[in-house]
Amino acid sequence: MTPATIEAARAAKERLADLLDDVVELSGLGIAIVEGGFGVKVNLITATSFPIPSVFDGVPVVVDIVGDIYPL
Amino acid sequence: MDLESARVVKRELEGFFRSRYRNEPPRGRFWLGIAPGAVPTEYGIAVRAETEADLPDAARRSIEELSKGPVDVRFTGRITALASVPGATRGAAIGASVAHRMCDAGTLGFFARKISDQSIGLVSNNHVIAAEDIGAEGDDILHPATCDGGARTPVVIARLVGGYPALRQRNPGLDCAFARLVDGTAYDPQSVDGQKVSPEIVAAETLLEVSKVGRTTGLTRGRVSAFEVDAPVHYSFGRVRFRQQIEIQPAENAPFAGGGDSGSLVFTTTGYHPVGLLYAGSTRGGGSGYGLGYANPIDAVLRALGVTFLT
Repeated sequence: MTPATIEAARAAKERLADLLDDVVELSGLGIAIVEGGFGVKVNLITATSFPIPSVFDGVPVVVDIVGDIYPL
Repeated sequence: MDLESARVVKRELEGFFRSRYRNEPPRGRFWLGIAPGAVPTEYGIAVRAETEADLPDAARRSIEELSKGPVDVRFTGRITALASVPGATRGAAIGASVAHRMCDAGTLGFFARKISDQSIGLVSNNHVIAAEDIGAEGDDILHPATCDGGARTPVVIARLVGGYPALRQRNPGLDCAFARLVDGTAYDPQSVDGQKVSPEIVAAETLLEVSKVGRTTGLTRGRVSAFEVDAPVHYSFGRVRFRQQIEIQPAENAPFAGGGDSGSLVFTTTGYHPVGLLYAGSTRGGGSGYGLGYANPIDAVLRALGVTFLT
């Protein structure tokens, strides 16, 4: 997995948001910190059948199933 | 109902009672929780009160009508602390138990100076010291929170300053509020984990090892796993979609934070530089499965509240 620059990760995050707009299991998107650089973080409430790419526009994609988010 | 549904119903009930008793506190005192059902995958609402007199009939009827499932009511007698949570006995300090009178316990994040009038106060979350937008200018902020009282009587250490960022707005970005310290309140402005918090803040754009000191889980360590995170958080009144948040995964074989840790200052493990203000957590994920913590970027908190760190 080749890390990306922060600018590339931000651009990929925006484009990935459009791609995943209809994925009901999507919880959130962010910039992932990976070894040596950045990626896109895709958080899901539950597993999805949608084929989320492991690399998008040359940027690594990190998927995590996080459930729901509540105030602590 | 399943566990997630029970959690949602509990939060709805808490919101119902908060709004209902805004100007007229209930005479009774009762607590809500989640009770295991007859089979392992079923859950209901737990209602606990010291005596029957502490659970008014009207409140009991409302709970039964709104809970859409089984209600487990028990009268516990007087409950005394067996082992106090870390933040209950800290005194007015970073990591101490605090709350608005209408809120569950949360954490005192840090002390700050209001730029406009140079007054000194504390910063925590809106949902801890401003009751999810219900709190008004001058409302009492208690330490420890009422539910952490035990042998230590909660005292008013600060009064809420109005004009904090609202959660119920079109583009909410922060869960934070400032409360001015009451004259004569003794406090420890900077100590955390035996060190001093630095007033120099750090952005979460590098691989940061971070820590926090919370009311419930005390000192824990984590790592920033993502930033500029856009994600929804489920409050008692509904879902709020935040943008540009910091995400933290546990660095140890334990959760980074638990219920009651909201408001904790997240700081770098080396150098004690402020990074964020913890306000939420996920139920799963984070590699270990203990869930992720979510924090407001500290620079945005300072800007929105018009405060600076005490030096």
